[in-house]
Amino acid sequence: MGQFQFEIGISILLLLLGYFFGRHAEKRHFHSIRQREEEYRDVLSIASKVTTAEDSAKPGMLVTGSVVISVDYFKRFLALLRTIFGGRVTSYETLLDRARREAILRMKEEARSLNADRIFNIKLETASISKNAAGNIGSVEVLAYGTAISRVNQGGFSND
Amino acid sequence: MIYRNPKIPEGINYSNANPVKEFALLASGAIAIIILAIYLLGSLLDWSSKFIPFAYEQELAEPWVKQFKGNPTTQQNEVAAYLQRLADDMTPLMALEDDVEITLHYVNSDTVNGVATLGGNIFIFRGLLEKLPSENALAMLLAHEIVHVKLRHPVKALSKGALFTLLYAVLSGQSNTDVSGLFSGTSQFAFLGFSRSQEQAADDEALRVLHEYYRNTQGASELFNVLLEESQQSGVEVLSVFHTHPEVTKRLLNTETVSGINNWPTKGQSVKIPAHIQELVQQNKLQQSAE
Repeated sequence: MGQFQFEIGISILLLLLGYFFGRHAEKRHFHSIRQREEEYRDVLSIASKVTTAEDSAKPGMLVTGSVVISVDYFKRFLALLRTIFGGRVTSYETLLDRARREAILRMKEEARSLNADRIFNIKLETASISKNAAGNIGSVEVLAYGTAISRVNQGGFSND
Repeated sequence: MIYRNPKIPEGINYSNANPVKEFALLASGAIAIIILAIYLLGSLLDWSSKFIPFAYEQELAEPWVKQFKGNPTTQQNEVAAYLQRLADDMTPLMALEDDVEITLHYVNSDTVNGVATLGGNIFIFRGLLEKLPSENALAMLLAHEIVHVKLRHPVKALSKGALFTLLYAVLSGQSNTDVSGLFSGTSQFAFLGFSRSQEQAADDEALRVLHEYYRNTQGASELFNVLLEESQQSGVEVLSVFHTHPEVTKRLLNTETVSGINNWPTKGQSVKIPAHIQELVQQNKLQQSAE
């Protein structure tokens, strides 16, 4: 039975580590997200395909932002318990909310560096890395992409 | 259209609730389900044990019993034969199933114990036999062990043991746990303890048999006094041997209560263990200490 107790001990240790580090990282991340969302408020992100009339002469550019966040042991264990009882997997909801917002922020960052102040036709894609591979803790990727419209009127297409 | 990017409101797409609370709730629910499942499985096994043919039990025990007995000397065989005769005298009072056979074995060892195991095999150790003051006490001991066999306690203990081995294999996810060979190592189950309620049931019926055999229950208090003395003498070690037995003082008390309710005399004539058997036991003891 010694080995069994050892394995239980390891699992509890992983749970505690996952909880404390995961919680700390999440708090810090949300704090940083809120701060940067304020900072990038001037870069409009719009889901609509329809641009305004004045934009028609300005160059549109593909901008992307992607992020990969790892699931911690605690979140995964909670989600596993949810597979028994059903209901909202709240532990993954925060994870994905963070990933989506972070991806949009990175996209905005790219748009700003390209001197764009608005992004049209925003799309989000989510992928799970390593899926259900045994012994893998798994992480989630969120990719945000859209068409950024430059502030300045340059006209035509360009590959620069 | 005028486009705006308002501040993103918090708490819509995720919950701010403390995950520890959720964890505690879900984990305790899961543990409750597991415990309930174990309990139900255990009860099911307990109930279904009576359908396991006795012959199967005997077959299972045979190789192990052979190994455990070794090569008894003629003296030891003589003691075993005496124990067998006493047991055979009592079994008609116990309404055993037709296919149940009781086989008594005598083990020349200092262990102060008597054990009922699979296949109706009952082992009486010299350590206990030499301390018994009378045949009455010995009869109580034998009756107690025979009731264990009658109520199929060994096979219940075996199936419980198998259940726990199986659960251990499932929970630990160990592929190297030998689940298929669960029953191959019968010896590890042979000394599985019985539960307190099983001991109590064995005591109660043994008392009835003792009364029917001797018209008194003196042997019970004699036996329990030996056990009591033994547990006081060597403390922890012996207590662990008897740890599933209801505490000896409680068993003594129970003897009085049950005898009182049924109007059974607790005192009566004490029958001695035949002198030649006592001699053989003493010789065995000397032999072993000489080795």
